[in-house]
Amino acid sequence: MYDEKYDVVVIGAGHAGCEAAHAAARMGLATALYTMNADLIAQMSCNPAVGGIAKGHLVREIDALGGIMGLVADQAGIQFRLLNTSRGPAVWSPRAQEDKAGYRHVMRGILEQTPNLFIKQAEVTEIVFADGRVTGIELLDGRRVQSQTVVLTTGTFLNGLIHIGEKQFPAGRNGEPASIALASCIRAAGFNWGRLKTGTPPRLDRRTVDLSVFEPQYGDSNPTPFSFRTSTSLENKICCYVTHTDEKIHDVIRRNMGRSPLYSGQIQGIGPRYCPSIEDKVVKFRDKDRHQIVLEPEGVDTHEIYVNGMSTSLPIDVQREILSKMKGLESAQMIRPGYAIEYDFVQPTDLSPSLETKKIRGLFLAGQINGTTGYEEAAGQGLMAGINAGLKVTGGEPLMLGRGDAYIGIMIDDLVTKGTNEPYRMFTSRAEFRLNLRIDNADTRLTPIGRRVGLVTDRHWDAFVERQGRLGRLRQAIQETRVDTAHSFFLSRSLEFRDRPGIASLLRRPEIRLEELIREGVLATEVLRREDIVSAETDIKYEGYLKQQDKEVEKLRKAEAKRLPDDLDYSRMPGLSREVAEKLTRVRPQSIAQASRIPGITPASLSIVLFHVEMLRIRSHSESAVQ
Amino acid sequence: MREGLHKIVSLDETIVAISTPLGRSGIGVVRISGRDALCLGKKFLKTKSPLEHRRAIVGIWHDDRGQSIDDVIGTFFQAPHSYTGEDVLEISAHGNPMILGRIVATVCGGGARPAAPGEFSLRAVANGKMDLIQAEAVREFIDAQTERQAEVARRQMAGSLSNRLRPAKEKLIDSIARLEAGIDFAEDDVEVPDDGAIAKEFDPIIESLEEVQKTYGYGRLLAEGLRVAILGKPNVGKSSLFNRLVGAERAIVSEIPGTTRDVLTEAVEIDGIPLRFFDTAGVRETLNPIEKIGVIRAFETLSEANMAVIVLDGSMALDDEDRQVLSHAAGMPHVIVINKCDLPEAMTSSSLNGSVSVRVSAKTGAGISCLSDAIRGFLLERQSDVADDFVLTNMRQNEVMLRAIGALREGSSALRDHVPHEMVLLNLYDALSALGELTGEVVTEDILARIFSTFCIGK
Repeated sequence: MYDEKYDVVVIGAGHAGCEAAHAAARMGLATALYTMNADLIAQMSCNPAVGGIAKGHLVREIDALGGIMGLVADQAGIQFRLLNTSRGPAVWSPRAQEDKAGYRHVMRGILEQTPNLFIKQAEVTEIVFADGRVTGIELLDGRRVQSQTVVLTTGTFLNGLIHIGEKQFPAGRNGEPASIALASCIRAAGFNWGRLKTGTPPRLDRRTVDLSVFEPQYGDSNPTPFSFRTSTSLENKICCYVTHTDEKIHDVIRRNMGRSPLYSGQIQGIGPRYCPSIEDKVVKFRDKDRHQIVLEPEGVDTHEIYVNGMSTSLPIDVQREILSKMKGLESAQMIRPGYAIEYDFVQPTDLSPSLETKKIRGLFLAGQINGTTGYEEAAGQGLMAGINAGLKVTGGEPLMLGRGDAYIGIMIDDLVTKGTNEPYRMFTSRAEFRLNLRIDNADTRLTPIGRRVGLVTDRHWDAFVERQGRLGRLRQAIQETRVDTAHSFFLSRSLEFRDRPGIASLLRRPEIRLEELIREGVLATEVLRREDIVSAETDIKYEGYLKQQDKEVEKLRKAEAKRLPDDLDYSRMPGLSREVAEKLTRVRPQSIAQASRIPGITPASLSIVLFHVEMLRIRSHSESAVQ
Repeated sequence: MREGLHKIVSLDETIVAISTPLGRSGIGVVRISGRDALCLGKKFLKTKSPLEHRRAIVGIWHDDRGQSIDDVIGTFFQAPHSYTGEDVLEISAHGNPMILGRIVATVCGGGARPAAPGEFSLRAVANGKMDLIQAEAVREFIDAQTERQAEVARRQMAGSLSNRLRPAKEKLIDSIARLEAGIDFAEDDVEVPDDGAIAKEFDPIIESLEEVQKTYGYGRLLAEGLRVAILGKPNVGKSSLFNRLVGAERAIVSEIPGTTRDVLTEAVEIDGIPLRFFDTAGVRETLNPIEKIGVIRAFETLSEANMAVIVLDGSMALDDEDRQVLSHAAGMPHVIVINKCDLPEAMTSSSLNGSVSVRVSAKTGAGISCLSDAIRGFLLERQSDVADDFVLTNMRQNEVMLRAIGALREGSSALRDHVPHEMVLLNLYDALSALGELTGEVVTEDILARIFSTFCIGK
């Protein structure tokens, strides 16, 4: 009946699919990764960059858990910047320009070196299931593949429809076919599906661009890697170029607005508010007389340039006219035009927090199919879906990260609890405990978890243990060392003390930095990494705020510990309004904490639920007592 | 945003409430339940022998400054052998609502929180202390919560508080959105004003919140009534005045429980505001120990009153004892009543150094309306704190307002100290969630929506 058999099948080899397949294979499970084109594994469909604020946090967390995005981004990176350093360390976030071809190459290399992982080029046309359980998949060529778990990561391919001006045609990405058969299968399975839209800007030929008129944007002189495992030093190989639109350009856009499928009603799907197309920016922010444009090279061996900030669905002739009015781009040649794409997604309230669908057991969804946008968001979900598919096979409890543990946990909780009506992107403001969720402590938070599920290799683990040791010794030195106030550090800053203060009390002064104390020899230490210093210093400098946050996290954990059984019948719970009961039934919250976050759930309805669960507990206690 | 969590009633905290019906009664019981119950008892209840499971022990309840509040009987019930299944301490005190209120206040000051309606029963269920049929009574808890919500909703529909707070809340959301945009969209060209300028934006927000909070002084009078202490040396006619004020049908008051404390209370109404008169024992230097207790109680009553009515005997000249009484009330709003104006006058107004006084006869009722006018004048003065018809009347609302104001002040000063914005935002979210409790929730999506409608963000 079946031609092949695997423990885990992953459909789609984008950023979600690669992490999912790698994770499951690392856990020792026979894993097949299906892609329609094996040359385009880990293709960056949009901008040639990884990370950014909150997204950089996601990459760090993926890395800490034993995922691969951070390693690949470090190796294929061609310009590195740490963002937000003018603020506190909780919101520092790494970002890197990537060599697109290099990224694909490095990722494929890592996947090929992963034991138990098999790359397969084929179009999947059907997910086979019976009695609410996945049994396998069917390929276009008629073969059937058996598997009790399937991770589906379709990106923009599911019923993908590209719009360029008045023209529209089915495609997964420009130049690649859409997944039509698979889309019918998902719609027929009865999921709550919808349509979303995203867009991408034109790409230019560097030889036709006058870069001398732009303001260059350089990488950091001391690049920050994504991965805790990257030990080689990183090198900036390119720079980006900043410019702005002006009113002349806005006039062109306004004049041609009727030809934008966004405004003609041709596009039904909802696009992201924080990644608007250039025509959206001009319409919605009428008083803004200029919008930022950043030219980003797509690699070191190519002339192709990405025009960041000019995502559009306007017709090609209008795109050309806009470019021709921009200083330095007057004679720019387009390699590829910008376009908008609509695609199917599944309302993520159809998922459990393990990313398994509630309807079909063994089927996991990750990435844009869950209504998200961004490589990092996709990779984070892919990793968790891969891990949970693996745990499903081995019979382990699903791994679910809490809102107090990781950005990944926040993202998944937001999705499965609230659903989404626009492409969901991560922001630090979504993290109510963001002071604790820093890039410098992602390993402390997550590497032990990654180790437990079998993702963290021995080498990775040894490096982690080493760093923890280093951090422990540094913290101890900070607490125990009293400084010599005659040291030139204090004299040169005319800081006077009555007695010999400890390092810890010195660090509470905003103007004193641990890095300087170490550099100038006030505190003697072993060789440290910059982030060791950040971790140790942050704990002391912002102790008051961190403690305040810890209290809140404690409250959250208590509420999370109040579990709600899967089989609660909300419709028969007296006192709950029909609307509330329906919401609870749809989301099926796992804890009273998750229930409290469902929009429209009132304190009174939470009390009713809490009360009922307590009653059930009493009843089962008294019954077991009778037995 | 700390979404959702505030909606959950925590069963881990120690709770306290007056568990006998409110109002005058011989004995009032305050019940404390939770893991800190015993610890709080040890702290505030001074007893000769230590608290023991199921033993009633006589003692004196003190406040956190060590001042005695009342002679009480404390009974401790050790978990799980108590009504709620947790450690429970029951304090039986005299039934004066003011005394019971002070006991609850000290317990709250020690870290407990006021119990939600029906919460003791809910805990009993949670700890397996009730069978299912009994537990149905816990519906009361849920109903009460629903009712309270309905009340809040009703008030919101009427809109007065929401309307008053909305502009401040909107401004706060704007500031938060701006700071968040600066953090999350540092890559875009989002302009964030400098810290000092943002901190300045909070001044009018704080001011407008304080304006609302200030009305609680008057609102509390509306809700709880004006507490008027009647004060004077013995035999000036305080009790007759008291009887006259509270009306003829209340003339026989000696049966009212609480007389043993030598503080009589009774309520009447002026302009829709309930007035509570506290008749006190005569105030004078005394060596008589029993009388001394009465005098101490009189002063305690005075310290909790909103205003004092000082009674002098108009048929006699002002003496040292009168002067002493006058000096006790000097620091608070008061009206001087020269009683017995039906008798030949012996006291001259000039001897009162120009203080406003009214001449009455408690016996005939003459001049009583002038006294009412004087009290009304005091109320009008309070009312001037109220800018429009809106008044904050609810203690919980007042506490939430104070929390919002405190958090904003903290955030503002942190900004001036250039504390990183993601930390300042902790204070601002605290303030916002406090305002949200009063006007309706604010969630992360609202902040994001504000960012995206204010700033052109994205590439």
